[in-house]
Amino acid sequence: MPLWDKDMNESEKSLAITAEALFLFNLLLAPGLGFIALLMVYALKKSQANNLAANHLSQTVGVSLIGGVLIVCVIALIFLLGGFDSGYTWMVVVLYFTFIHSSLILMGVIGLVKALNGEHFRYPLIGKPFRA
Amino acid sequence: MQYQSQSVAKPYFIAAIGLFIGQILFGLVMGLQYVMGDFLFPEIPFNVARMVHTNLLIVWLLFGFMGSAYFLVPEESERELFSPKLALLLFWIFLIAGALTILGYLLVPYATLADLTGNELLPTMGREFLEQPTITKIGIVIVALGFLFNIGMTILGGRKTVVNLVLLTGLLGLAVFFLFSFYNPVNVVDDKFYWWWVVHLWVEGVWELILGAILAFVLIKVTGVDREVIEKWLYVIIAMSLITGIIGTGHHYYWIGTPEYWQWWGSIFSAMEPIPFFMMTIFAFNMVNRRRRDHPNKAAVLWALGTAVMAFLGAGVWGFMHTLAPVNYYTHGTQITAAHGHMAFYGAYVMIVLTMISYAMPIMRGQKAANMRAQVMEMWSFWLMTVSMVFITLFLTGAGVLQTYLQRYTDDPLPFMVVQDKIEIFYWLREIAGVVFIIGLVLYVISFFVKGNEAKVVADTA
Repeated sequence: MPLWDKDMNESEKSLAITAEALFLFNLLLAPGLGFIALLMVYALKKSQANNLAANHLSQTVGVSLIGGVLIVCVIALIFLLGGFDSGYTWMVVVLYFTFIHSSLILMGVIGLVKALNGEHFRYPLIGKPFRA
Repeated sequence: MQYQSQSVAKPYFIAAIGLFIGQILFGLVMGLQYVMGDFLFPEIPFNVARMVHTNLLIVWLLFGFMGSAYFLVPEESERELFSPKLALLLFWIFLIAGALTILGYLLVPYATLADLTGNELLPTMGREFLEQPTITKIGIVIVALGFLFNIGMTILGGRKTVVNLVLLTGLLGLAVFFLFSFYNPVNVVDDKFYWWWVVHLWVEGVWELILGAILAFVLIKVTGVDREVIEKWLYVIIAMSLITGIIGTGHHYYWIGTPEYWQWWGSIFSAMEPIPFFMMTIFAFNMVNRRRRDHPNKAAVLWALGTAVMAFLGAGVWGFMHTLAPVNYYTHGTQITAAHGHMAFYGAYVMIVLTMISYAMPIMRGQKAANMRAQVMEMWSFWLMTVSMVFITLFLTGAGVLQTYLQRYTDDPLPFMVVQDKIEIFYWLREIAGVVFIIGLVLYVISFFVKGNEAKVVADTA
């Protein structure tokens, strides 16, 4: 493989890894801040991203947005319908949040592993509309 | 099998599976007693069923760890076990002592058992999970010392690898911290403080080293990834386990009479406890994704990946859920704790022992992997047990959140037993999930006896 191809592949791979790492950072350590950082990387690097990096950038940004809606908006709706003063509402919220949040983390882990190995990844179900 | 002496692991694994079945049966009895209070009363009262359920868990996991060590260490050390005879002798001592203890719980009242076993000479009984008579505890120490001597001499005389040294450190820690079960001060705060040195520093400390070492060993074998890569991961994972887990003990000190600063130390360090489990998940998936060979034992690979995921969920996510002091103030000792306990023990320790059994058993029976029909049945058992454990956890979590709210959070709190009536439906659902679990376990046992074309499995993947 020519040297410039190898360099390009490595930069593609590190961009893909950055995208997946920020996706997880947003979920695990700094909700919101992680997403802003991911958006900045997306805006700055999108034009330079080829196949691999474009796939991971597009997937992580798209899935973060859908994940945000699934977590914030749906939970707000549950509280709106059930009210804060009901044990049943809290039960549904805790179970729902844990299910969605853990699923996103586990999918993010697989995404990161794929990026580390220079492979494409499409998030199951909610990653369908974004670049595969 | 590379070394003949590895075969001493076999009776340990068989005993482990037998006791596992017993544990689940008593779990089902207790589950029913939650909703039918008089079920099997007075023959098996709830407190006895609970004691048998939890003690059997500890004992069979110890059998599993010892069996895993006897299989793993000779191969890592590149030499035969120091003394296979000693390993077999200790097996029988441990099995007989364990069986007598369980029979003692079931056949005589606990106070009589204490009298019969001379507890007044060195009182150590009567504490949750450490209910064993003092004489049994002494037996456990003797078995542990003999086991460590055997494993230690094998490692010292052979190749030292990161995997066997981490395993040895974990097993040494297991034995050392068990010694605190003999310390039984009169002051209940002191008592609880050091009681956690056995319970917490086992499951959120040294046992994680054992888990990491076994997982690393199986992944080296089934993926063919360079040992150096796997060892680097193992170093980082165990470092994070100890950094977070040791001071993380503080999450048990919030409300037992210890100084208030433990609420800070406990919250901060235990909030970081999911990190090693998270890394373990990335580690396992990464190694399998980078595999350089297609190992014929698909079931073992599935168990290994399952361990990483379920340990992260059970120990990591469900642990974090109620670990911060302001949250734990409300949730302490509710069904949320039971939910966490079930999934964490299953995900981290049950599954790693089953991973090792899945990998080692066919080899000890002269095959590289079980035949495909047996593997398919084993994978069915994996899914039945794992999915039902997820449901057990979800039902208990639902019960726990409702219990916390109705009994402790609302402006008009309800009495304990009134709340128990309101969450009865969750206990029924948990029991149904428990029945599915035992069906999975029965399939698991049957999978060892399913016949098929063993040679084809190896030929297909050669």
